[in-house]
Amino acid sequence: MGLVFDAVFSISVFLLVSIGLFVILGLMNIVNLAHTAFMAVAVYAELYFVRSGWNFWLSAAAGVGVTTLLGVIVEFVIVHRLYGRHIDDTILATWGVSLVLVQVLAIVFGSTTTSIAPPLSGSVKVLGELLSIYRIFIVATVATVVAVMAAVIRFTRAGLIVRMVMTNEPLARGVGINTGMVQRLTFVAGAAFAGLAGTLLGPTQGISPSFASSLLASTFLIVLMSGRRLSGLLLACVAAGLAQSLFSAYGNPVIANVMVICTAVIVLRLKPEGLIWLRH
Amino acid sequence: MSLLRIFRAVSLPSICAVVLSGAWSGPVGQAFAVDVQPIKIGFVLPLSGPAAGGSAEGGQQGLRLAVDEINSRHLAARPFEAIIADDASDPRTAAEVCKRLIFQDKVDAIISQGPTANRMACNQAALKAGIPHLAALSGPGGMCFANLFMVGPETSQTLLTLVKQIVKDGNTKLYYMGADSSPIRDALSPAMATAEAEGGKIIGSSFSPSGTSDFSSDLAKIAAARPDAVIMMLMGADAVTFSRQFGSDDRVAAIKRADFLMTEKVLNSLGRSGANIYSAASYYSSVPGEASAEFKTSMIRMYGDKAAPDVWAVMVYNAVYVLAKAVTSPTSGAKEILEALPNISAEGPEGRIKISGKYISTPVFVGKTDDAGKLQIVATYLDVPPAPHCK
Repeated sequence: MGLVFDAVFSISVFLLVSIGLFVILGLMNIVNLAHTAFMAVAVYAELYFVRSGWNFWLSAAAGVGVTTLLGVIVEFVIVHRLYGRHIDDTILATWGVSLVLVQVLAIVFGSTTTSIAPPLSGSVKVLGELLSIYRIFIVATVATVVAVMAAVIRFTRAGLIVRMVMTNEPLARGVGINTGMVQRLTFVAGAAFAGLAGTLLGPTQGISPSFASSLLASTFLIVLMSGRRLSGLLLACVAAGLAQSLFSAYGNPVIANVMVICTAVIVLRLKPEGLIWLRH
Repeated sequence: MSLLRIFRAVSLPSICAVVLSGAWSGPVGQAFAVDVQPIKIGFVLPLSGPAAGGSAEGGQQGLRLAVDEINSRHLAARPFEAIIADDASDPRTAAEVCKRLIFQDKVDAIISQGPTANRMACNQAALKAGIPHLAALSGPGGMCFANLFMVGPETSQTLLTLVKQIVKDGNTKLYYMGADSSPIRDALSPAMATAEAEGGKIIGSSFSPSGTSDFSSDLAKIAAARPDAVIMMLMGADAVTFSRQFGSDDRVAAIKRADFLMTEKVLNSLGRSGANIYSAASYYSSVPGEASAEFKTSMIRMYGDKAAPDVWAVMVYNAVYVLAKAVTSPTSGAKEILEALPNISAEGPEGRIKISGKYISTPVFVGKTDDAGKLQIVATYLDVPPAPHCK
């Protein structure tokens, strides 16, 4: 049971971190290498508000708000100039943004690793295994976010517009959809997802300006495996999460990290279009 | 044209950030009355990049305080002047910075406080030029160069003292949880030998890569092994991540922890997640005694609320004092300092340190956090010698 929950938690963390990257790459063809820097901004904002005496949940909401605002600014100042440009330009620009953000955090907050106490402590016994309540909360939150996102994409007019822009952007523009606004909102939504990931993972991690940067490579591979479909993202996270937890449990974490990359390489070799078979 | 604009948008804030972080600071000190040339010290440390961390503030403060005291009290035969330089957490930059300090700024000695790779890169130029190089930090032993002296405990001094103490306290079954790096893997064998010599045993080990965000599988292995205590050998943010996840996992609630890589400040910041953790270091701010109290008072007098009288400050402070003892005449230069260094001992805030080979014998303090996560010293070991690394 412990191993099953570890695998579910690992899948949830991959989903939580990759969903913002997925949204931005899927809709905008932009690889946002500043994603984990956005997460770092969120967690430092959360830390700042917690230290100012705010309740954890309010601080987390404020952290997401700060990152969303940052997303608006970055989109306005830099990213909107990259629409229609080659993907390499977006990689270079967002990488630059991440360097600046990490340095600014180091200057403002210092580089010493710090931490936030989890808002939910204790464990519950499930099938004889003790499971941390906060980790269960993270899994439940991620499940809710993915379910809501799937429902929005599948059943709402906004979802229809998003699907149309993803499938054929010039055609969507031709039928009168303001694709520029859709892309703008998409980047801001991606930043908000980064904020959510940062604030939720904050209490489980050491906090430094390079917060979560080690997750960027694996989540980027997951997004590539997803084939730009939400179902594909889910499958890719399951594949990576299982590889991570099983090889960590029966081998060691170093091999597990290698296996996550190997999984991505094998998947992309066999299915270069990504894990989109469920759609057909 | 647009590319240029993007470049400007991205690069200008980067440049500003690097400049604001103090990448290259001006000289410190030199308030000597007599008409002799100052001894120039280059202090190289990571002020930017991934290795920039908790050491930067304390290290710089310790340097400035020591230089100020030595100059105002005329404790050396020549006045001291220090130049602080950022190695940007990068070995190539460290090599360039050290070359510049040696050949352009003409420093007489280098003190460094960066990662091993940066220290080695910096030392190439220092060794070639015959410049003494004092590494003011704790780290693995076995680096034997004619000009390089480590003014901080090497891993075995703190780790083995810590193992000795936790076994002595009745924790005989130990688990070794380390970072996946060769110095940490190499430290396992002496830790096992020490545990066995004291009547304990290391019953399991795990090694995690840097940047691990989820330690669930390691915690499951630790819970299954049921040790009395876990020796944590993780670095930087990983140590905090592991401690947070360990502290909130009831499967391992009854197991004690021992760590000597987390600083006192980080340990204290963990709150209740950091309760009952053993730790070992050559200095804690709660070290008793007149020298420690005087050091803290001087730091507070000089830096007020921003004073960081931590182990990093003490190691750099000691390094400057060791240099001061080696400058015995107004003609003392790099060569004379190198000749004098092997026989020097000094009284630091933590007690007496003595150069022994290329390392130092030093006091080692074992601390333990209470239920609120506040560190208290529980045992003191004086004159702990380094392993005989350099013949």
